[in-house]
Amino acid sequence: MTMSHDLNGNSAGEGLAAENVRLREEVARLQGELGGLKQAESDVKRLEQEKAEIAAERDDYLKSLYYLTRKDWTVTEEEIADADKNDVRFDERFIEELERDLRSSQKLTTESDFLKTEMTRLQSVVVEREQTIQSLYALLEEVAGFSPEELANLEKDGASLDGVIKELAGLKP
Amino acid sequence: MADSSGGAYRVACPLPVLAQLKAWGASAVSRGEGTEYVEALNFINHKLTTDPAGWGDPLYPLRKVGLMMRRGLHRPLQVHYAVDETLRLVFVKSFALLFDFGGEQGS
Repeated sequence: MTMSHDLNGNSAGEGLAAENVRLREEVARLQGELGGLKQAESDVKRLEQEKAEIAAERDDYLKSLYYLTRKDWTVTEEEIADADKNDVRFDERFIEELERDLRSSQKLTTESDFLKTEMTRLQSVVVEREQTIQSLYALLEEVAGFSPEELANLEKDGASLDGVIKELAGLKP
Repeated sequence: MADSSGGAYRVACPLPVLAQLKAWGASAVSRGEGTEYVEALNFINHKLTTDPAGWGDPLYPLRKVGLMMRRGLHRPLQVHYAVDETLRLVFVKSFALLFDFGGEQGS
């Protein structure tokens, strides 16, 4: 019975065994790579999840800012979303708006202080005017009103208009 | 707004004011304006006895006596008075003639 040999003189059985070993090593390496890919895939999913959470947190902060400042920003939510997509920075524009609002706020504070002062002054004027009115009422009551004694006398001695009307109706021109 | 709850009001007018009304009336009669004058006095008397609080305009409060001074107007006369709803009594303070009626002045 004859046995086949390769060019190196190794028998066919030896060649197959070596190939088997190489293939096993290749399988092991590929399995290692597959494990790495699975890990990478898991990492990508985790990072995507984190990115979504950060975006949601950022939106919450933005909504809080909208609520706190209660103004219409010239940077809209849509613009920010577009900027995100196109890798455009909007932070400088945002800060510029905040600074402008701060200046407006300072101006409003000054105006508010002025109005508070003016309100205090006007309240004093109102109190003074009310006192003057009360004084005038008292004066009117004194000169063009009735004292309790006067009312008592009128109740007792006052007369109706009937007699005068009757008397005048009887007069001839 | 006419009163419908307690009958007519009594009008209490000071005697010097009544004397003044008579004098103005006599003068108006002598000028031929007696009819207008007496009609005005009748109208005012009717309002004072039936609806004094609803007719006259409130002027200012009389705090010491708790009443409101009012003014009623019917050409050529105007009257200042106060109303006591409890007593159903009208206290007349004064009458005045409108400036364009016979050149007379208020009482």
